[in-house]
Amino acid sequence: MDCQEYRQQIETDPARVDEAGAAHERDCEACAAYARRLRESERLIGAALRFDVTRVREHTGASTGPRRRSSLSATWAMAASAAVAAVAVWLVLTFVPSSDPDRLVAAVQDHWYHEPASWVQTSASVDGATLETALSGTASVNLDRLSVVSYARSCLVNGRWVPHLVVQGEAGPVMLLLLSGEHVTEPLPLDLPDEGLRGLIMPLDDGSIAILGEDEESLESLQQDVADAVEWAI
Amino acid sequence: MSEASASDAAKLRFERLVAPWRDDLYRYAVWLCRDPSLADDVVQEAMLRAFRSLGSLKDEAVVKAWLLTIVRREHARVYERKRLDTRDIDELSAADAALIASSEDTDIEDMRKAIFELDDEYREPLVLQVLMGLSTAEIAEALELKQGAVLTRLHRARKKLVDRVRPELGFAKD
Repeated sequence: MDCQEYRQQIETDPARVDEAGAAHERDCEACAAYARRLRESERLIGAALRFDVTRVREHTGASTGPRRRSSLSATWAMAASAAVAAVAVWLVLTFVPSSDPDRLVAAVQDHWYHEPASWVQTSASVDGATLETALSGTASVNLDRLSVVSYARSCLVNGRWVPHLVVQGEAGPVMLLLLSGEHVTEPLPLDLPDEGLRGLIMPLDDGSIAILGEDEESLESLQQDVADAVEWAI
Repeated sequence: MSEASASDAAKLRFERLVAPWRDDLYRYAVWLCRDPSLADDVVQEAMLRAFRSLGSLKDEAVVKAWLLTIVRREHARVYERKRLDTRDIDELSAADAALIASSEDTDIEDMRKAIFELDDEYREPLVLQVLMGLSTAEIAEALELKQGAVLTRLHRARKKLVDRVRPELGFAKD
Protein backbone atom coordinates (compact mmCIF):
# COMPACT_ATOMS: atom_id res chain seq x y z
CA MET A 1 0.00 0.00 0.00
CA ASP A 2 1.40 3.41 -0.92
CA CYS A 3 0.81 6.73 0.85
CA GLN A 4 -2.02 7.78 -1.47
CA GLU A 5 -3.93 4.52 -0.99
CA TYR A 6 -3.40 4.65 2.75
CA ARG A 7 -4.66 8.23 3.03
CA GLN A 8 -7.68 7.47 0.87
CA GLN A 9 -8.56 4.66 3.27
CA ILE A 10 -8.07 6.56 6.48
CA GLU A 11 -9.91 9.64 5.23
CA THR A 12 -12.98 7.50 4.58
CA ASP A 13 -13.02 6.02 8.06
CA PRO A 14 -10.22 7.00 10.45
CA ALA A 15 -11.52 4.53 13.04
CA ARG A 16 -11.02 1.45 10.86
CA VAL A 17 -7.75 0.65 9.16
CA ASP A 18 -7.11 -2.76 7.64
CA GLU A 19 -3.95 -4.80 8.13
CA ALA A 20 -2.18 -3.35 5.09
CA GLY A 21 -3.07 0.15 6.24
CA ALA A 22 -1.80 -0.53 9.75
CA ALA A 23 1.45 -1.87 8.34
CA HIS A 24 1.89 1.24 6.19
CA GLU A 25 1.21 3.47 9.18
CA ARG A 26 3.95 1.71 11.15
CA ASP A 27 6.46 2.14 8.35
CA CYS A 28 5.67 5.70 7.22
CA GLU A 29 6.25 8.45 9.78
CA ALA A 30 4.59 11.12 7.61
CA CYS A 31 1.40 9.08 7.22
CA ALA A 32 1.42 8.17 10.93
CA ALA A 33 1.58 11.88 11.84
CA TYR A 34 -1.17 12.63 9.35
CA ALA A 35 -3.31 9.87 10.87
CA ARG A 36 -2.85 11.28 14.37
CA ARG A 37 -4.03 14.73 13.26
CA LEU A 38 -6.92 13.23 11.33
CA ARG A 39 -8.04 11.17 14.32
CA GLU A 40 -7.95 14.27 16.45
CA SER A 41 -10.35 15.98 14.03
CA GLU A 42 -12.43 12.80 14.05
CA ARG A 43 -12.83 13.09 17.80
CA LEU A 44 -14.02 16.63 17.20
CA ILE A 45 -16.62 15.43 14.68
CA GLY A 46 -17.84 12.81 17.14
CA ALA A 47 -18.11 15.31 19.98
CA ALA A 48 -19.97 17.74 17.71
CA LEU A 49 -22.49 15.09 16.67
CA ARG A 50 -23.10 13.87 20.24
CA PHE A 51 -24.71 17.05 21.51
CA ASP A 52 -26.38 17.26 24.92
CA VAL A 53 -29.92 16.05 24.21
CA THR A 54 -31.38 17.42 27.44
CA ARG A 55 -30.03 20.90 26.84
CA VAL A 56 -31.27 21.07 23.25
CA ARG A 57 -34.71 19.73 24.20
CA GLU A 58 -35.05 22.45 26.83
CA HIS A 59 -34.94 24.97 24.01
CA THR A 60 -37.14 23.25 21.49
CA GLY A 61 -40.45 24.38 22.93
CA ALA A 62 -41.41 20.95 21.63
CA SER A 63 -43.64 20.40 24.58
CA THR A 64 -45.60 23.58 24.14
CA GLY A 65 -47.80 22.64 21.24
CA PRO A 66 -47.72 24.01 17.71
CA ARG A 67 -44.20 24.18 16.32
CA ARG A 68 -42.26 26.91 14.56
CA ARG A 69 -41.87 26.27 10.85
CA SER A 70 -38.88 27.99 9.39
CA SER A 71 -40.34 28.27 5.92
CA LEU A 72 -43.15 30.57 7.03
CA SER A 73 -42.60 34.27 7.26
CA ALA A 74 -43.54 35.85 10.57
CA THR A 75 -46.66 37.43 9.08
CA TRP A 76 -47.89 34.23 7.53
CA ALA A 77 -47.07 32.34 10.70
CA MET A 78 -49.13 34.76 12.80
CA ALA A 79 -52.04 34.69 10.34
CA ALA A 80 -51.90 30.91 10.14
CA SER A 81 -51.73 30.61 13.94
CA ALA A 82 -54.73 32.89 14.35
CA ALA A 83 -56.72 30.90 11.80
CA VAL A 84 -55.75 27.60 13.37
CA ALA A 85 -56.61 28.90 16.82
CA ALA A 86 -60.01 30.12 15.60
CA VAL A 87 -60.77 26.77 13.98
CA ALA A 88 -59.56 24.93 17.09
CA VAL A 89 -61.79 27.02 19.35
CA TRP A 90 -64.75 26.45 17.03
CA LEU A 91 -64.07 22.73 16.96
CA VAL A 92 -63.74 22.59 20.72
CA LEU A 93 -66.91 24.56 21.29
CA THR A 94 -68.84 22.63 18.66
CA PHE A 95 -67.67 19.08 19.09
CA VAL A 96 -65.86 18.77 22.37
CA PRO A 97 -68.10 19.76 25.24
CA SER A 98 -66.08 19.32 28.39
CA SER A 99 -69.14 17.98 30.14
CA ASP A 100 -69.19 14.80 28.05
CA PRO A 101 -67.59 12.32 30.45
CA ASP A 102 -67.46 9.41 28.01
CA ARG A 103 -65.59 11.49 25.46
CA LEU A 104 -63.17 12.72 28.12
CA VAL A 105 -62.48 9.20 29.40
CA ALA A 106 -61.91 7.95 25.85
CA ALA A 107 -59.56 10.85 25.06
CA VAL A 108 -57.53 10.27 28.22
CA GLN A 109 -57.26 6.53 27.64
CA ASP A 110 -56.33 7.04 23.98
CA HIS A 111 -53.65 9.46 24.98
CA TRP A 112 -51.87 6.82 27.02
CA TYR A 113 -50.97 5.06 23.75
CA HIS A 114 -49.50 8.18 22.16
CA GLU A 115 -46.31 8.46 24.16
CA PRO A 116 -44.62 5.11 24.74
CA ALA A 117 -41.38 6.89 25.53
CA SER A 118 -42.93 8.02 28.79
CA TRP A 119 -43.55 4.50 30.13
CA VAL A 120 -40.06 3.87 31.33
CA GLN A 121 -39.36 2.98 34.94
CA THR A 122 -36.59 5.27 36.10
CA SER A 123 -35.27 7.18 39.07
CA ALA A 124 -34.31 10.19 36.92
CA SER A 125 -36.43 13.34 37.24
CA VAL A 126 -37.01 15.88 34.52
CA ASP A 127 -35.38 19.20 35.21
CA GLY A 128 -37.26 22.24 36.44
CA ALA A 129 -37.25 24.02 33.09
CA THR A 130 -38.83 21.04 31.32
CA LEU A 131 -41.51 20.80 33.99
CA GLU A 132 -42.25 24.53 33.81
CA THR A 133 -42.53 24.36 30.02
CA ALA A 134 -44.99 21.48 30.28
CA LEU A 135 -47.06 23.25 32.92
CA SER A 136 -47.00 26.44 30.79
CA GLY A 137 -48.79 28.48 33.42
CA THR A 138 -51.66 26.02 33.87
CA ALA A 139 -50.76 24.93 37.36
CA SER A 140 -47.96 24.71 39.86
CA VAL A 141 -46.78 21.39 41.25
CA ASN A 142 -45.28 20.94 44.68
CA LEU A 143 -42.60 18.36 44.02
CA ASP A 144 -42.22 17.59 47.72
CA ARG A 145 -45.61 15.91 47.55
CA LEU A 146 -44.81 13.67 44.57
CA SER A 147 -42.30 10.99 43.84
CA VAL A 148 -39.99 11.30 40.84
CA VAL A 149 -41.52 13.21 37.91
CA SER A 150 -39.86 11.40 35.04
CA TYR A 151 -41.68 12.93 32.08
CA ALA A 152 -43.33 16.26 31.34
CA ARG A 153 -44.87 17.54 28.12
CA SER A 154 -47.79 19.66 27.05
CA CYS A 155 -50.19 17.52 25.03
CA LEU A 156 -53.42 17.93 23.10
CA VAL A 157 -56.11 15.94 24.91
CA ASN A 158 -59.81 16.33 24.21
CA GLY A 159 -59.17 19.53 22.26
CA ARG A 160 -57.08 21.24 24.95
CA TRP A 161 -53.35 21.59 25.57
CA VAL A 162 -52.77 20.07 29.00
CA PRO A 163 -49.71 19.15 31.07
CA HIS A 164 -48.90 15.45 30.78
CA LEU A 165 -46.67 14.27 33.61
CA VAL A 166 -45.42 10.83 34.54
CA VAL A 167 -44.54 10.10 38.16
CA GLN A 168 -42.90 6.94 39.37
CA GLY A 169 -45.35 5.04 41.52
CA GLU A 170 -44.68 2.01 43.65
CA ALA A 171 -45.81 -0.35 40.88
CA GLY A 172 -44.43 1.56 37.89
CA PRO A 173 -44.90 4.75 35.90
CA VAL A 174 -48.16 6.64 36.47
CA MET A 175 -49.61 9.06 33.93
CA LEU A 176 -51.05 12.32 35.22
CA LEU A 177 -52.99 14.69 32.98
CA LEU A 178 -53.73 18.07 34.56
CA LEU A 179 -57.10 18.87 32.98
CA SER A 180 -57.57 22.41 34.15
CA GLY A 181 -60.51 23.16 31.84
CA GLU A 182 -62.38 19.88 32.27
CA HIS A 183 -65.08 19.93 34.93
CA VAL A 184 -66.32 16.59 36.20
CA THR A 185 -68.87 16.26 38.93
CA GLU A 186 -67.69 12.90 40.23
CA PRO A 187 -64.70 10.59 39.80
CA LEU A 188 -64.71 8.86 36.39
CA PRO A 189 -63.06 5.44 36.27
CA LEU A 190 -60.34 4.71 33.72
CA ASP A 191 -59.71 1.14 32.69
CA LEU A 192 -57.32 -0.38 30.16
CA PRO A 193 -57.49 -4.07 31.10
CA ASP A 194 -55.44 -5.19 28.09
CA GLU A 195 -52.57 -3.06 29.34
CA GLY A 196 -53.06 -3.91 33.00
CA LEU A 197 -53.83 -0.27 33.80
CA ARG A 198 -56.53 1.46 35.76
CA GLY A 199 -57.17 4.84 37.27
CA LEU A 200 -59.63 7.67 37.40
CA ILE A 201 -60.36 11.25 36.48
CA MET A 202 -60.90 13.02 39.76
CA PRO A 203 -62.44 16.46 40.21
CA LEU A 204 -60.10 19.03 41.66
CA ASP A 205 -61.46 22.52 42.29
CA ASP A 206 -62.39 24.00 38.90
CA GLY A 207 -60.68 21.28 36.89
CA SER A 208 -59.84 17.61 37.08
CA ILE A 209 -56.83 15.31 37.06
CA ALA A 210 -56.50 12.01 35.26
CA ILE A 211 -54.40 9.36 37.01
CA LEU A 212 -53.57 6.14 35.20
CA GLY A 213 -51.19 3.52 36.54
CA GLU A 214 -50.61 -0.17 36.94
CA ASP A 215 -53.37 -2.34 38.42
CA GLU A 216 -51.28 -2.87 41.54
CA GLU A 217 -50.75 0.84 42.14
CA SER A 218 -52.29 2.26 45.31
CA LEU A 219 -54.52 4.86 43.70
CA GLU A 220 -56.06 6.11 46.92
CA SER A 221 -52.85 7.43 48.42
CA LEU A 222 -51.71 8.69 45.03
CA GLN A 223 -54.94 10.68 44.60
CA GLN A 224 -54.33 12.44 47.87
CA ASP A 225 -50.69 13.17 47.04
CA VAL A 226 -51.63 14.57 43.64
CA ALA A 227 -54.46 16.66 45.06
CA ASP A 228 -52.06 18.10 47.62
CA ALA A 229 -49.34 18.73 45.06
CA VAL A 230 -51.29 20.47 42.28
CA GLU A 231 -52.52 24.02 42.47
CA TRP A 232 -54.26 25.58 39.49
CA ALA A 233 -52.97 28.90 38.24
CA ILE A 234 -55.51 31.72 38.58
CA MET B 1 -49.93 -16.19 28.43
CA SER B 2 -52.81 -13.85 29.34
CA GLU B 3 -53.41 -10.68 27.31
CA ALA B 4 -52.26 -8.50 30.21
CA SER B 5 -49.00 -10.35 30.70
CA ALA B 6 -48.43 -10.34 26.93
CA SER B 7 -48.82 -6.58 27.02
CA ASP B 8 -46.38 -6.35 29.94
CA ALA B 9 -43.90 -8.44 28.01
CA ALA B 10 -44.25 -6.15 24.99
CA LYS B 11 -43.63 -3.09 27.14
CA LEU B 12 -40.59 -4.67 28.76
CA ARG B 13 -39.22 -5.69 25.38
CA PHE B 14 -39.74 -2.16 24.10
CA GLU B 15 -37.92 -0.69 27.10
CA ARG B 16 -35.07 -3.16 26.78
CA LEU B 17 -34.56 -2.89 23.04
CA VAL B 18 -35.68 0.58 22.04
CA ALA B 19 -35.38 2.93 25.01
CA PRO B 20 -31.56 2.77 25.14
CA TRP B 21 -31.42 4.17 21.59
CA ARG B 22 -33.75 7.07 22.22
CA ASP B 23 -31.13 9.81 22.66
CA ASP B 24 -29.07 8.68 19.68
CA LEU B 25 -32.20 8.41 17.53
CA TYR B 26 -33.09 11.96 18.54
CA ARG B 27 -29.57 13.12 17.62
CA TYR B 28 -29.86 11.29 14.31
CA ALA B 29 -33.23 12.91 13.62
CA VAL B 30 -31.86 16.34 14.51
CA TRP B 31 -28.97 15.95 12.09
CA LEU B 32 -31.34 14.57 9.49
CA CYS B 33 -33.74 17.51 9.52
CA ARG B 34 -31.59 20.18 11.23
CA ASP B 35 -34.57 21.21 13.32
CA PRO B 36 -34.64 20.06 16.97
CA SER B 37 -38.39 20.71 17.33
CA LEU B 38 -39.27 18.79 14.20
CA ALA B 39 -36.90 16.01 15.24
CA ASP B 40 -38.89 15.66 18.46
CA ASP B 41 -42.05 15.04 16.41
CA VAL B 42 -40.25 12.58 14.17
CA VAL B 43 -38.88 10.55 17.08
CA GLN B 44 -42.18 10.52 18.95
CA GLU B 45 -43.97 9.14 15.88
CA ALA B 46 -41.13 6.72 15.19
CA MET B 47 -41.28 5.41 18.77
CA LEU B 48 -44.99 4.83 18.46
CA ARG B 49 -44.54 2.97 15.18
CA ALA B 50 -41.70 0.96 16.68
CA PHE B 51 -43.88 -0.07 19.60
CA ARG B 52 -46.74 -1.09 17.36
CA SER B 53 -44.57 -3.17 15.08
CA LEU B 54 -42.09 -4.52 17.61
CA GLY B 55 -43.62 -7.95 17.16
CA SER B 56 -42.36 -8.01 13.59
CA LEU B 57 -38.74 -7.61 14.74
CA LYS B 58 -37.54 -11.21 14.85
CA ASP B 59 -33.79 -10.64 14.97
CA GLU B 60 -32.97 -8.38 17.90
CA ALA B 61 -29.40 -7.99 16.65
CA VAL B 62 -30.64 -5.69 13.91
CA VAL B 63 -32.68 -3.43 16.17
CA LYS B 64 -30.50 -0.39 15.50
CA ALA B 65 -30.83 -0.62 11.71
CA TRP B 66 -34.55 -1.33 12.13
CA LEU B 67 -35.05 1.79 14.26
CA LEU B 68 -32.99 3.94 11.90
CA THR B 69 -35.20 2.83 9.03
CA ILE B 70 -38.32 3.78 10.99
CA VAL B 71 -36.90 7.22 11.81
CA ARG B 72 -35.85 7.82 8.19
CA ARG B 73 -39.30 6.84 6.92
CA GLU B 74 -41.03 9.00 9.50
CA HIS B 75 -38.79 11.91 8.59
CA ALA B 76 -39.66 11.46 4.91
CA ARG B 77 -43.36 11.32 5.77
CA VAL B 78 -43.12 14.54 7.77
CA TYR B 79 -41.38 16.28 4.90
CA GLU B 80 -43.92 14.99 2.42
CA ARG B 81 -46.79 16.22 4.57
CA LYS B 82 -45.30 19.59 5.40
CA ARG B 83 -43.29 20.23 2.26
CA LEU B 84 -40.70 21.93 4.40
CA ASP B 85 -37.99 24.07 2.90
CA THR B 86 -34.33 23.42 3.46
CA ARG B 87 -32.77 25.20 6.40
CA ASP B 88 -30.46 28.16 6.27
CA ILE B 89 -27.98 28.66 9.09
CA ASP B 90 -29.00 32.33 9.24
CA GLU B 91 -32.50 31.28 10.34
CA LEU B 92 -31.47 29.67 13.59
CA SER B 93 -34.09 29.25 16.30
CA ALA B 94 -33.23 29.21 19.99
CA ALA B 95 -33.17 25.41 19.82
CA ASP B 96 -30.85 25.43 16.81
CA ALA B 97 -28.55 27.87 18.54
CA ALA B 98 -28.61 25.73 21.67
CA LEU B 99 -27.73 22.73 19.54
CA ILE B 100 -24.72 24.43 18.00
CA ALA B 101 -23.55 26.13 21.18
CA SER B 102 -24.16 23.26 23.62
CA SER B 103 -20.48 22.97 24.36
CA GLU B 104 -17.82 24.97 26.17
CA ASP B 105 -15.36 24.09 23.44
CA THR B 106 -15.26 26.54 20.51
CA ASP B 107 -13.66 23.92 18.25
CA ILE B 108 -16.67 21.66 18.82
CA GLU B 109 -19.00 24.60 18.21
CA ASP B 110 -17.23 25.39 14.93
CA MET B 111 -17.42 21.76 13.88
CA ARG B 112 -21.12 21.62 14.74
CA LYS B 113 -21.79 24.65 12.57
CA ALA B 114 -19.85 23.05 9.73
CA ILE B 115 -21.85 19.80 10.05
CA PHE B 116 -25.07 21.81 10.18
CA GLU B 117 -24.18 23.36 6.82
CA LEU B 118 -23.14 20.16 5.08
CA ASP B 119 -25.42 19.06 2.27
CA ASP B 120 -27.78 16.23 3.22
CA GLU B 121 -26.03 13.76 0.93
CA TYR B 122 -22.79 14.19 2.89
CA ARG B 123 -24.17 14.75 6.36
CA GLU B 124 -26.35 11.66 6.62
CA PRO B 125 -23.75 8.99 5.84
CA LEU B 126 -21.30 10.73 8.16
CA VAL B 127 -23.86 10.73 11.00
CA LEU B 128 -24.69 7.09 10.39
CA GLN B 129 -21.01 6.16 10.51
CA VAL B 130 -19.73 8.30 13.38
CA LEU B 131 -22.80 8.63 15.59
CA MET B 132 -24.58 5.35 14.93
CA GLY B 133 -21.52 3.21 14.25
CA LEU B 134 -22.72 1.70 10.96
CA SER B 135 -20.22 0.15 8.55
CA THR B 136 -20.03 1.47 5.00
CA ALA B 137 -21.88 -1.65 3.82
CA GLU B 138 -24.69 -0.99 6.31
CA ILE B 139 -24.85 2.66 5.30
CA ALA B 140 -25.05 1.63 1.65
CA GLU B 141 -27.96 -0.64 2.45
CA ALA B 142 -29.75 1.97 4.58
CA LEU B 143 -29.38 4.72 1.99
CA GLU B 144 -29.86 2.42 -1.00
CA LEU B 145 -26.52 3.43 -2.49
CA LYS B 146 -23.57 1.52 -3.84
CA GLN B 147 -20.76 1.12 -1.35
CA GLY B 148 -18.43 3.10 -3.60
CA ALA B 149 -20.81 6.04 -3.53
CA VAL B 150 -20.91 5.90 0.27
CA LEU B 151 -17.11 5.89 0.46
CA THR B 152 -16.95 8.91 -1.84
CA ARG B 153 -19.53 10.80 0.20
CA LEU B 154 -17.81 10.01 3.49
CA HIS B 155 -14.50 11.16 2.09
CA ARG B 156 -15.97 14.38 0.75
CA ALA B 157 -17.88 15.05 3.97
CA ARG B 158 -14.69 14.84 6.03
CA LYS B 159 -12.79 16.92 3.53
CA LYS B 160 -15.39 19.70 3.71
CA LEU B 161 -15.36 19.66 7.50
CA VAL B 162 -11.61 19.49 7.91
CA ASP B 163 -11.00 22.13 5.23
CA ARG B 164 -13.29 24.47 7.09
CA VAL B 165 -12.46 23.76 10.72
CA ARG B 166 -8.90 22.39 10.52
CA PRO B 167 -7.51 23.69 7.20
CA GLU B 168 -3.93 23.23 8.46
CA LEU B 169 -4.44 19.48 8.27
CA GLY B 170 -4.23 19.56 4.47
CA PHE B 171 -6.84 16.94 3.62
CA ALA B 172 -6.06 15.12 0.38
CA LYS B 173 -7.92 16.08 -2.79
CA ASP B 174 -10.60 13.79 -4.27
